[in-house]
Amino acid sequence: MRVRFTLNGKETHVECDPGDRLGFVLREHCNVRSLRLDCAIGRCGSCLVLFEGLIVNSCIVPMFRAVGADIMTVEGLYGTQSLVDVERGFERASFEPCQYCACAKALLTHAIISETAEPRRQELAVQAQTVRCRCTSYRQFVEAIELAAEHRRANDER
Amino acid sequence: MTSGNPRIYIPHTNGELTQLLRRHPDARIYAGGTGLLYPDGVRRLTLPPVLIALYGVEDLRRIARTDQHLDVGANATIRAISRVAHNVVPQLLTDTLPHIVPPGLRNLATLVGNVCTLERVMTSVPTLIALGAIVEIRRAGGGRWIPVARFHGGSTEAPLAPGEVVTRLRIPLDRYDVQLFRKTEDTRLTMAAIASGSKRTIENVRIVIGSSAATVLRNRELEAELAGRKAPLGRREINQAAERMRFAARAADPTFTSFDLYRIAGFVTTFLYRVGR
Ligand SMILES: Cc1cc2nc3c(=O)[nH]c(=O)nc-3n(C[C@H](O)[C@H](O)[C@H](O)COP(=O)(O)OP(=O)(O)OC[C@H]3O[C@@H](n4cnc5c(N)ncnc54)[C@H](O)[C@@H]3O)c2cc1C
Ligand code: FES
Ligand code: FES
Repeated sequence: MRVRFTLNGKETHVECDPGDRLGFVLREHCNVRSLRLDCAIGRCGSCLVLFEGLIVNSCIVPMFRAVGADIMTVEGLYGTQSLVDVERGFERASFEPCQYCACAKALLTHAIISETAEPRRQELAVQAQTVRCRCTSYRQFVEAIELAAEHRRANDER
Repeated sequence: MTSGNPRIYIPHTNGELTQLLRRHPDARIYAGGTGLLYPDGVRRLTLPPVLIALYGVEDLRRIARTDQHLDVGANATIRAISRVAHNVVPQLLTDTLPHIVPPGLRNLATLVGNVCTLERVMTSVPTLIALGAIVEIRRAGGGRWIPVARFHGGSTEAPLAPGEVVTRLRIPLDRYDVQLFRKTEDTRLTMAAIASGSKRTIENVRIVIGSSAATVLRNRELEAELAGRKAPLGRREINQAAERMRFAARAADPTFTSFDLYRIAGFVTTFLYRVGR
């Protein structure tokens, strides 16, 4: 089937099977390198995208569902103040995720602070676990999100 | 299952949905798809031969509240429910929602999809049974309501006839004095319990245990005996109740391990200890 959707603000179309995974198609047909298919069962979060503005594991989304959808990956944030806010938050918390998960964590942070200006710590503790990680502490990630939110608020007030 | 040439229908109204189901009574319903679609290698997900997706029906996303209950549409996601649920629904449900799927699936997975998965007792089921939730089932030309307990109550009759679909879940917003939810780390057991009463007398107790082996355990005899007793219960009464639940579990499902039985008794003890204290 031919599927049209918007990827990072640009009209895109691909030829694929209706059951092809969105994550696979983005990587292989649309050259999106920021996401990975790791567990491929919807558990680890390395394939995170913003689907209609909502965080979703793209390995579990079939392409028929992507018809007409608005999809964003971290590439869509390159060169924007939004990504700078996220990076500042990470820096201030001395939070240094590895190459493997950094993009997913950046996109997740952007999604959280775009939705809630002052996210509650209790909720962040759950949301931070969207991207599985055994090498940094979730507490540090939560702090990084809070500081990114602070940065975003300061920018919005300016 | 096929990934060859599946037929996919995306209705936009409840009427279209039930008409499609009338024409394709064996179609599989796709809500969030997180429980329906299985991996077929790294590239694709297996689709059933005929699939009817719910995401085009705006009405099914609706979450509505009255003084008595919360109505949750069949395509309302766990995340959407979590947002409205806070401070509205019984604490038992608020405590259950974060345990249903990993965070990255909450914007896809639905609560109704959880109830409609019959292969095993899904995470929300003991809670919804304890809260007395019911579902609306529709087909072309008719509809009916049935308790969630009918979906997972060990009845040999399939809860949905071909051509039927669940359109709504109704959760009563009653008040309870004690509510307890536990999902064990190994996901073998999900347990939910509520109690309410007045003037230090227990009036209503429900204890529901769900196992990964598709058993739902409820000891109604025990629940009836606990109702009417003075709270708080004494240690002996609590221990006896926990033992009876353990025996009932062993009799109901031989796949329970001794550790499962120990955890069931522990849950009942913790819960009953809190009643009236
Ligand atoms: C990584 C991962 C972890 C998971 N962890 C858990 C867990 O811990 N606990 C748990 O309970 N589940 C878990 N699940 C299973 C699943 O995600 C949940 O059961 C989810 O709530 C299903 O909702 P859905 O909207 O995605 O349903 P779908 O996948 O769309 O449907 C599930 C089933 O219900 C049927 N169905 C759906 N809606 C209707 C309807 N309205 N009428 C009739 N039939 C319908 C479908 O045909 C299908 O058979 C997990 C899944 C994944 C991928
Ligand atoms: S690859 Fe999608 S969640 Fe792990
Ligand atoms: S997986 Fe990247 S820091 Fe842990």
